[in-house]
Amino acid sequence: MGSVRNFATRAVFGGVLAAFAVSAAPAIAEENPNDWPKYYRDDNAWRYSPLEQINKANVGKLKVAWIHQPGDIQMGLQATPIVVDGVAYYVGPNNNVFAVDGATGKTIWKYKPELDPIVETVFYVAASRGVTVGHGMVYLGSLDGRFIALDQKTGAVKWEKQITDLKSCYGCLFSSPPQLAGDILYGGTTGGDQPIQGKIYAVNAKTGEPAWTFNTINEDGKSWPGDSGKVGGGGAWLPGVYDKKTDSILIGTSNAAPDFFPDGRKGDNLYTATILNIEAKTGKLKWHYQEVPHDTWDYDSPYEIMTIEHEGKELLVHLNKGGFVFVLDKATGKPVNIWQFAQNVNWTSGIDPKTGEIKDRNEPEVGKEKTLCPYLLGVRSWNAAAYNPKTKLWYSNAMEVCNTVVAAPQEVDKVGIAGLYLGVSKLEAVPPPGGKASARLDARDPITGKVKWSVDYELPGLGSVLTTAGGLVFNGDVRGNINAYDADNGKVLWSFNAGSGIRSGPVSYSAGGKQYILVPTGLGSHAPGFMASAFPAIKGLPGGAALVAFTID
Amino acid sequence: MRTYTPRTLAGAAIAFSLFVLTATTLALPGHAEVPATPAAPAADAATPPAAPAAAPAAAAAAPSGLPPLGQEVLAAPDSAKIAEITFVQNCAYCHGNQGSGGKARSLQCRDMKPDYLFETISNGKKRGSLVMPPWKESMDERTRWQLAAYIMSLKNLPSCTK
Ligand code: HEC
Repeated sequence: MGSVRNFATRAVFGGVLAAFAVSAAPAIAEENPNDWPKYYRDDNAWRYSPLEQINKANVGKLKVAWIHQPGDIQMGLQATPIVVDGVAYYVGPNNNVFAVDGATGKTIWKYKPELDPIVETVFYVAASRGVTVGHGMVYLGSLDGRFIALDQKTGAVKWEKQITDLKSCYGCLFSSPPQLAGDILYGGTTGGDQPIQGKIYAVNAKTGEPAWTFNTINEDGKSWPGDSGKVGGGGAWLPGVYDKKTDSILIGTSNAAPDFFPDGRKGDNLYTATILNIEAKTGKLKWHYQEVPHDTWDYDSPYEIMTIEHEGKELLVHLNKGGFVFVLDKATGKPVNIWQFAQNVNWTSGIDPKTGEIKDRNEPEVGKEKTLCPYLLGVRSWNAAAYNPKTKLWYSNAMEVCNTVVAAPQEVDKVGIAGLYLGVSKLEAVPPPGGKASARLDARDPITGKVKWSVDYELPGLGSVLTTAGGLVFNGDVRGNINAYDADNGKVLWSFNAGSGIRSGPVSYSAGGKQYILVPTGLGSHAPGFMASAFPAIKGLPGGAALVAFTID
Repeated sequence: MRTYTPRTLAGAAIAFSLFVLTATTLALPGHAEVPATPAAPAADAATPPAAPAAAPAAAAAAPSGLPPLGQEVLAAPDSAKIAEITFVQNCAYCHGNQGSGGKARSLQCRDMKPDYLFETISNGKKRGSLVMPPWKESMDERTRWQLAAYIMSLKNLPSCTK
């Protein structure tokens, strides 16, 4: 993707990209607007496509172009496809990787690793959120703890490296694609709810040779009393982003374990529920910001870390599961603002927007039932928000659900490979006290949280939001409805039912001169099961797995 | 791997409570970690429960087709209670509070046989997009039988009698 092509593109897209280039030139210069080259599309994590062939005026004519089925529906389709030069790369259940012609839906190649049978015995089975493309390779983080590099053209294995051992480290598997930071390929494991020490692993992207490992459990002796850090959870189960200018990896970490019974881990429990800024070359920590010190609610910090320029400063915009959006100075990691996104919050009376102090902590207690809001799945699940630089709005799904919790000690030796280290004797998703469980899609100012528009959802949206230069916002629901909204006012402009729900990352790309909206459909994952007590209608919804491409003739 | 012969166990719960009345506390080689308290009567592996002799009416329903450990755990009055917290910690995430639901079928008010429960808990289950991992790597046999006892107790919740 040379710069020549990019200049041509800029001319075509005119003002938008020109304005764009000023604020975020380094990130944009490498990108082809026709592609969806990375998990969040760019390192600003906007989930924004600069394509505008499909727009407010014609989106009503959007029709199915092709459908690709991975042939396995276990845990549904959770991937965000990567599209480069008209080829879509995605992963279906059980690490089945496909390269698909973006114009026709034809399979170009497919790859299925021989997985260690241990993958059948863990809690987080079958599901994977995608692959990463770069250096002529397609990278997969596998369910049995490997990084695997495939030839981008053929799908042949170029190298593979065993990174973790699931037998000794329960849940230390890769559910998200490892990401590129120049020549470094890095990724964290899932499993903050397990008695492990979660780590972020980096290798040389070209060879697979180990580069560094970052332990998300700080072992300086102060953060974790005794041996509690050995089973303190942590990890980083979603993709981070890379800041090329400063060679920084920005990535958020998982919660501390046991989740709700913290008596054995008095201390701040660094680096759980933290945003990390790590130097890509060395793995050294540059700064960190812990959103929830000594987390006792499962409010981890792995969600997308957006960069938005505001009054001449680069700010990070980051949603924590506990219902607050943290706006941080990208250079220092210091809070600029912290605003409340969830309507029902009772674990704190508020977070100081300047110091980040969590006021009046309402923690789970042993032998006493408490209803705590939001619940462990968060005000939103991992399905990312989107930011549109034209409207300057942040689009995110939200849900209002609480959980009743009774904290209890849990014998760590009895937690098996499929078990969770939650520290509870009761745990149930319930509606907010005196109210009803609800869900919505919000359009807000990312810095202040001011609501521009909001659309009610009958059931929580569990797919990532997509926004485009065509003035559109795409969002799917758990019944399989895919809606296109007017990005300015939330008016529904187009709708399609795919037959099974969206629990993935819809993307947009252009192939053969045509823009496509590509939606991985098929409901799966454990989250709908846990929320069913608050949203009974979710019980009967069918699973599935089909990648559906839409375009306009 | 043991194999079990599936059996119909109508009235199993009644039979179990009779065991409780009649079983004596015995030494349990191989299960030394279990305190043999009077509140947790146990059946010796070599001696099938003596219930029939003391309770002729229940004889036909005795779960003698189950392995001794299963019989013992199902007969113990506190098995379900012991397993309650195990269920919350490992199962409620997917099966809901007291097995009320989740995406899986409700485990409440259902007449499921203990050997089916034990096998399913041990080996896991897949249905469409849904999947339960096997628990035999994660829990010892006793714990899995206790969970079976707990799920059987969900048949008798107050909400089941309508
Ligand atoms: C990751 C989610 C998950 C976890 C954790 C889980 N299960 Fe399941 N379980 C399922 C699913 C899915 C099914 C199949 C449901 C169906 O067929 O409707 C199932 C089925 C069952 C069944 C068979 C019920 C029937 O309808 O025939 C039993 C019994 C059971 N589970 C017990 C347990 C126990 C005990 C635990 C904890 C040790 C547990 N499960 C943990 C997901 C889970």
